[in-house]
Amino acid sequence: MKEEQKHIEALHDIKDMMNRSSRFISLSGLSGIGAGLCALAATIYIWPVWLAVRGKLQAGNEIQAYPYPTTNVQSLLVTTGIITFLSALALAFLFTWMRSKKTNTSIWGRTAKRLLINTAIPLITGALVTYRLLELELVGLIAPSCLIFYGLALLNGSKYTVSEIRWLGICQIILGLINLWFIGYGLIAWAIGFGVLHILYGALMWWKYERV
Amino acid sequence: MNNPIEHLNKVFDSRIRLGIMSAVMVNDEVNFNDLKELIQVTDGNLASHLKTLEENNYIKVNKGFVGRKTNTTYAVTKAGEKAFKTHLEALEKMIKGMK
Repeated sequence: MKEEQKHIEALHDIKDMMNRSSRFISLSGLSGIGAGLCALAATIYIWPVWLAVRGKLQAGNEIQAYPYPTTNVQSLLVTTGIITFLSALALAFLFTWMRSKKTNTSIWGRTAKRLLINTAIPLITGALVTYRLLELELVGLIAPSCLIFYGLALLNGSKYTVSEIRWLGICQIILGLINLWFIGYGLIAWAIGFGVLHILYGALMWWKYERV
Repeated sequence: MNNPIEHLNKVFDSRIRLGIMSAVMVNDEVNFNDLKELIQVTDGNLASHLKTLEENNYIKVNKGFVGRKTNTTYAVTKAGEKAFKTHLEALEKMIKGMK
């Protein structure tokens, strides 16, 4: 019995060491919830603009009540997008930092660097593609493009952090692809992907690993 | 009747050596400081265990430089990989056999 316990412990140690040495595991579930809330806040903020733009596109003419000149819609979208991304990132960093304090692991190391590089490559590519779509006024493709590239970034990063992120990535990609055939519902898809899925994922992860 | 204990590798009896092997198995290479932080041991202690593994040909040492600082990295050898896998299988078998 004592022997058995010793071997089980040894196997547990090995698994733990393999994980800790190759993956960035401090990523907190609360980060996901924080990012999701940021996305939902952005959705609420953009909602009236979106309705107006849609109304205009469908009616095919200027609507008098439309409060935003077209040129400003693009910069409004870009600014909101960037602010949302930065605040989500800041919250993610904060919660992860708090968790790493608690578990006494260093936040900046080889594993964190690898995770960042591997998510940044698809993410920056996606940001440039999305920006170009906006410039070409292909507004309907913006949300799917955000979702698909973000999903790919998560999928790529999942090898270097908690493996559950892979599923979040796959869900984002599927959502983005579905949205490609339902152009005009971009903001809703965006809110589900970046808002609801993030919160669900974050809550699950927190429940699974961080609950005391 | 073959005895699973004979497949358990004496070299991997130590927790620290087990830790080193686990880390080099899943990474292309690991440097001394990362290992020290992962396993939380003193320099001397870690160095002596690394030496043992090196003498058994389970890991290979690569001495390099980052700027002017020395940067010694460790990687698993083919023999090390094989030995570690055998050890893991033996551990698993023992646990299953005991249940």
